[in-house]
Amino acid sequence: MFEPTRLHPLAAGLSFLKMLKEWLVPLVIFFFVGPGNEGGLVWMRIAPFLFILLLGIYGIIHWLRFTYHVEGEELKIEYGVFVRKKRYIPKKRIQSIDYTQGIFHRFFNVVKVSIETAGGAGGGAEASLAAIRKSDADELASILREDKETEQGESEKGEEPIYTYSLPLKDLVIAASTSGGLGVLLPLAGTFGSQFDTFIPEDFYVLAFNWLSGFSWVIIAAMAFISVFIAWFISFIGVIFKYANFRLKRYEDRIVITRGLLEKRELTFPLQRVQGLRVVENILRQPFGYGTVHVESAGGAGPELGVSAMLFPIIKKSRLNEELKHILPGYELPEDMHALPKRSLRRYILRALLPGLLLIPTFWLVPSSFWFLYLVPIIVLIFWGVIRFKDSKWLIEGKSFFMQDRFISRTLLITEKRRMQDFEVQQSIFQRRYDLVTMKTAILSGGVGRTYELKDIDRNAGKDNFHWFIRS
Amino acid sequence: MRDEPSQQIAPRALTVWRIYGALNSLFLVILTIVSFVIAFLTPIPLWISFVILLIAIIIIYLLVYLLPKIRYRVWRYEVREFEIELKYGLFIIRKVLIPMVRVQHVDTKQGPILRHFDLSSVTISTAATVHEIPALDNETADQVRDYISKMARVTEEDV
Repeated sequence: MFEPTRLHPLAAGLSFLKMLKEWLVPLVIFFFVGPGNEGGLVWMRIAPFLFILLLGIYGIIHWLRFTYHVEGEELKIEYGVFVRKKRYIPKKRIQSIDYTQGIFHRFFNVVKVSIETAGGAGGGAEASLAAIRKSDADELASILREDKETEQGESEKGEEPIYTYSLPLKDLVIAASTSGGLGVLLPLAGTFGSQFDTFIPEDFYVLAFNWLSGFSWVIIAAMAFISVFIAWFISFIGVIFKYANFRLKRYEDRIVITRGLLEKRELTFPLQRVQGLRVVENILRQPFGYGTVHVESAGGAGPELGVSAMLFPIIKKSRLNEELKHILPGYELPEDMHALPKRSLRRYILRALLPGLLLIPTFWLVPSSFWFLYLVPIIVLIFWGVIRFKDSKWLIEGKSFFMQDRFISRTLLITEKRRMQDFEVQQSIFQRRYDLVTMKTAILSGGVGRTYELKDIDRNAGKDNFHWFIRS
Repeated sequence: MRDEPSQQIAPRALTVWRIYGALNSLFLVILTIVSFVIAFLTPIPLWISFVILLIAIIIIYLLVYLLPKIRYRVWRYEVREFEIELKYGLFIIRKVLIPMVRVQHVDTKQGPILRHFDLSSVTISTAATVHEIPALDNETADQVRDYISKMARVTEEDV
């Protein structure tokens, strides 16, 4: 720990695999396209293998030259194959220490340690130790934690969590089956399709079409349904793998979340860095009364893309307050919130109808006897506007600030005055006619700002909120 | 009950914005000239060019005269002990409140045109957002900047 130490040898293999992944495409092309079958240059045949060997050697050298140790008040990391690099991280600046475990890690009982520091806006610097023994990781974490009472790895002796929450299996299954991941998969399939386009012979489509047109519409519809089902099933499995064994432990000063079936993830964030909560109910989950809760944290949110971490992957909204009471007291959902004034409804409906303008060019293409069909999108859009109006709510209670709105999913922001970076009240010339304003605030989320706004609240309410935000 | 921030920005800002407007209008002037040239060389009727000329005149009037004037009239700021308040906008009037404890750093900047008029803009950054007071006298800008950075005692843990 106090002498320069190397990582677990697995790190060499991991960096080799990473490089291989980056070079995979050129290598494959080289293999298949090849250097031309003539030429008879023997070394050209073995070139790819030589190259892979080189990558392997590079991985080993990289591992040999990578050392870490703690010296005085700093964690010192030295690395680099061609250029020596040194990175010194002061203990004081360390915000969070997270463990992740891939499949290979589990095999050797090692973990990857990611260390995040508090930077200013834009996130801090960070370091990661690709593979070190779990016991070493715990030791390192406890050394880095000395004389500061913030986060560390999970297995600290003697300290028991105050409260533990695990995701019930039933909820996990609901989360997996309603994870809107389906929508994400469709474009993915599209991209893959376009990637393979170049490999697919021209007449394939003609053949496929002929083959398909041999079937009845019923069968084609069934095939479409089956492919949608398969996409849904893949996202279902994905969520199960990601959130199985989800466990949230609340300690005196921090929250530790572990999750994952094959790849175990652990992330830690100090309570004092929590900026707010976001309760998101997507359209599949809302009817069942379920939602997802994200916690916005100022940096150090760990491997969850550094934006915001999942506090509850899925939870029944009615049970949320009960859990929050133990985990993040002061962030409970309010009983009731202020709705918008009636006169805003008109503006919400008009705004919702705007995308309908895109249909105008089709007006000339559709025969007049079918114009009644336009009622369908218009009714849907009006309905959307009404729902958005109904879901737009806000509340200020003491130091707490709540704001809810909907685009497609319903989102509720829960934060405190001291976490709000600024406050803005806007009035457009159209809003002036109705005495309405838009209020806006920004909070910090994973090192970057995130802006929330609520349109068309009463002007006096907006003014009052503005004054509430002035120091008191 | 203070309802409005009190300070206006430098009157010379108006001139600067007019210059920006004029620069943005150059494209329209060129477009109009080109349309007349085309009208003389091809059988395309001349009235189209006159329509373009009329539209260009209206837009240039807006860019160079009216919009800068409104912008200048609306712009107000006030730096108080515990907060900074801004008010600005054209079609959307915005009122912004930035608590002093949230300010991370303040900068003054000037581009070539601002420098020519001895003006600077002040940029106020919080952890999540950036706000700008455009076109203050160099002196005022420096005062504002120094005052804000003196007042903004950002505590380490209180992000």
